[in-house]
This record gives sequence, C-alpha cells and structure tokens, in this order.
Amino acid sequence: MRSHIMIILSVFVLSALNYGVYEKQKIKDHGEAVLLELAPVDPRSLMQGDYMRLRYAIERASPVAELQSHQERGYMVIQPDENNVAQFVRFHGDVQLKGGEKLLHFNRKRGLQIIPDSFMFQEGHAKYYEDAKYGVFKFDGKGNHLLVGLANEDRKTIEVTEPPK
Amino acid sequence: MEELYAHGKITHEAKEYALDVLYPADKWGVWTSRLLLAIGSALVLCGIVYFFAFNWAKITPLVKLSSLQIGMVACLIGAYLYSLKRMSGQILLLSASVLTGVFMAVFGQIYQTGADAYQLFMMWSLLTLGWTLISNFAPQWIFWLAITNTFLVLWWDQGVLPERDMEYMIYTYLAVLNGGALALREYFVTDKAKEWLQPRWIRVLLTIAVLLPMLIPIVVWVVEPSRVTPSITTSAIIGLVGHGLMYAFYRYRMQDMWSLAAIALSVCIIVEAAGLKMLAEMFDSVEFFMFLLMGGMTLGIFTVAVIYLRKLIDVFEVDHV
Repeated sequence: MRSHIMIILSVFVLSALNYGVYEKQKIKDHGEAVLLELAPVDPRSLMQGDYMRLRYAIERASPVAELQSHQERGYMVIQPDENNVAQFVRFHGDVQLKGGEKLLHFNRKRGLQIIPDSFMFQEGHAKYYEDAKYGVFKFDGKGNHLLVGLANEDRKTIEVTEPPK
Repeated sequence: MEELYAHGKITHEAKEYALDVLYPADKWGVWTSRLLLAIGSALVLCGIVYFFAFNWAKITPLVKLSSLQIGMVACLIGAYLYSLKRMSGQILLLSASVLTGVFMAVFGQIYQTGADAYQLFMMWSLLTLGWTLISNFAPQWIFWLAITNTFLVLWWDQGVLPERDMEYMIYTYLAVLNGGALALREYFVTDKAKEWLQPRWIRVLLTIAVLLPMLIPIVVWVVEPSRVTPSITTSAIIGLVGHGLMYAFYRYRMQDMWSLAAIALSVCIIVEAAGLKMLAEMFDSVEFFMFLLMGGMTLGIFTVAVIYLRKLIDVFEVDHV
C-alpha cells in the first residue's frame, strides 16, 4: 500500500519538477531577447555556489514616487530602444500595451527591485563577468521573463572561454 | 541471567539459551551493516550536493537535469523493490528526497531564479512532504524538519523582511513547529504499530530542537532589557511557558532523564545569563571581583542542577520499583 502511494507521489514530484523545466526552457528557447542595463554594485548561495548580485539601472530610473506607498509588487512597462536596451515607459495600469512594449515584474521590499537580483556561475568564473554591463533577458508574451546571461559593453553575451593551459 | 545461574536456579544450557535469545549473536553485525549503510549513503549524497554546487559551466543543462532525475528514479525504483518496510528502502527514499533538493538547486542555477534560497527550501519541503508522511522512518522526518526549519528562517529573512519589532517572532514559529513534531512523537509513541518512533535519540534531538529557539529569545530578553522589542517579549514568554510545559511533561507524564537534563541545562543558561547581568551591573568598576563572583556563581548554579537531577533519578527509581 505504502509503496503504491510512494509511486503516485513520485510521479507527481517528477512531473512538477519537469514541468518547471519545460516552462523555463520555453521562454529560453522562444522568448524575445532584451537587454537590461546593470547598475554598478559578491557572495555565495546555499547549495548553489558562486553568484553575483545584480542591480538594474531601470530600477533607479523608474519614478517610484508615482506608486502607492502600500503597493508591494506590480508590473512596469518597458520598451527596447534602438540598441535593444530596455527603457522605462510607465508603471502598468489600465493602458493597453503598444507594439514592442513589454511587462516587467518588480517588487518593492528593499526599494524597487527586479527579480532575479543575482546571476549564478561556476565557482571561480567571477573574472569573466566582472565587466558585465547588461543582463540578457528573454520575455514571453505573458509577462514572464528569464535571465539567460550577462552581456558586455558591446552588448554581446559573455561566453566563458577557458584560457589555454 | 548471570544472577539466576549463580544462585543455581537455572542450568548452564538454560543460561546460554536465554542470553542468545536476549542478545542474538548477529546483532552487532546487523548494527554495523546499518551504520555503514547510513554513513555510506550520507557521504555519497554529500558528494553529489557539492559536485552540483560548483555549477560546472561545461556540463550542459540537459545532462545535469537528466542525470539527477535518473538518480531520483533509480532511488525510487530501489525503494519500491526493497519495500519501505526495510531500512535499505527507506534510505533510498530519503536519498530521492535529498536529490529532489539538488535538482531544484541546479534548476535555480540554470534558469537564474535568484539567490533567495527560501523558495527552493519551500518547494523542497512541500514536494518531499508526501514521501515523508508515508516513510515511517525517523531520519526522513528529521530531514524534513531540518528543511522546513531552514525554509522558515530563510523565508523570514529574505521573503518577509520583518520590521525590527517583529524580528524575533521567528523563534516562536520554530519552537511551535519543532514542538508540534515532538508532541506528535510523544502522542504516537505508545502506539504499538508505530515502533519506528521508539528510538530515544528522536526524543533527545527534538527536545534540543525545541529548547534552542525557546532559549535564545529568553537570554536576549534577560541580557539586553533596553533593546527589547514586542517580538522578543512574546517569544521569551512563550519560551518560558514552553520550558515549564516540557518540564512538567517529562517529570510527571513520561519520565525521561535525558530530556530533563537538557531542560535543566537550558534553565542553567538562563539563570547564568541573569546572574551575569546582575553582577556586571553591580560591580561595574571592580572587574576582578566580578569575575571571581561569576566563577562562584557558575559553580553554584550547576551544582544545584546536578544535585536536583540526581535526586530525580532516585525518585524515578523508587517510582519504578
């Protein structure tokens, strides 16, 4: 009896995990890439290794005062400029999105903040990401986004290349 | 047995037979093999956790995620084949639970879900709850409690971001969670069908897990009255009541020296903290004298505790005779 319950639970757990992967992978494969400029700001996460704390320029550029003081989370509307770098347009309200505009989720726990506020990489690879200037995001049509990499000043995604030994 | 034999009440054969029934010759073998099984599994799992924590850039996401899932499925098939009635099956189920967490950690690395680990521990705790409920395996429960405690602490710190006034409420939550687990254990332990709850280390471990979150706010309350916030007061009062309840329970309901000793130690620390605070304020200028008195006071507090505990042992023995 317990074994059968275990199998049912296992199927549930594995499907939940794989559905999570499927959802993220869909955005990664088919999402639209937009760059978010990083604000100049390195620690270690439990079980996940090295990462870099990220702050985004758009967090500072947005007029936080326009928001109600009690509003803890919401969406802002962003528009990629000619370099595909996202610019703040307005906080999302009743106004419909125009062509090219995208929604970006934020919360306001420690000032206005965009999640993820971290980028994880292999231990010791911090040197490759030191000069990162942009976060490369993929957006789906429904307001979900995924950070897929960091980009340098020329807006090229940083690829880690092992130095020749 | 030895006594019966010495008094000539039983024959030599009877003594040998009785001892063999009481302490089977292969008992140490079973014990050793279980110990090695547990240590071996723990080391393998630690290895896997640290391997993936490194976040290897050269291993593709697909390989990482699928190898972990193959590991999980293998553990679960093993648990099914050995059945959950045997320790090998239970350890395999526990391994699958640990790998679930590793999978989510790797998922977070690949899709950059953010370094706020409380969501990871929340999902981990939720997903492994079902397996834990059916496991009938104390280490699986301890593991689940450890994850859930970690979730609460991280969630409080990263998710809730409490005001200074409320910071110490987390100790109440932890005490309630672990206290609930201890209460359930004591409630079900008399049930013959739940023999897996019997081992005493479960009670000792849970007692410590309840005492710690009750002790910390009390000590802060005693030592720094000027910085006390409502949450410190609340948690400290709940802690004091909790100490009283636990004492009453293990003194009068289920007599247990280990738990009483742990409670006594906890109370010693509280009294010690209060004494130090008082001495430090009274003899602010004559430090050498203060430290002398502190030494004497420490000796006194612990002597009283030990005398009291020894007395309790006598009382319990009289009760049992």
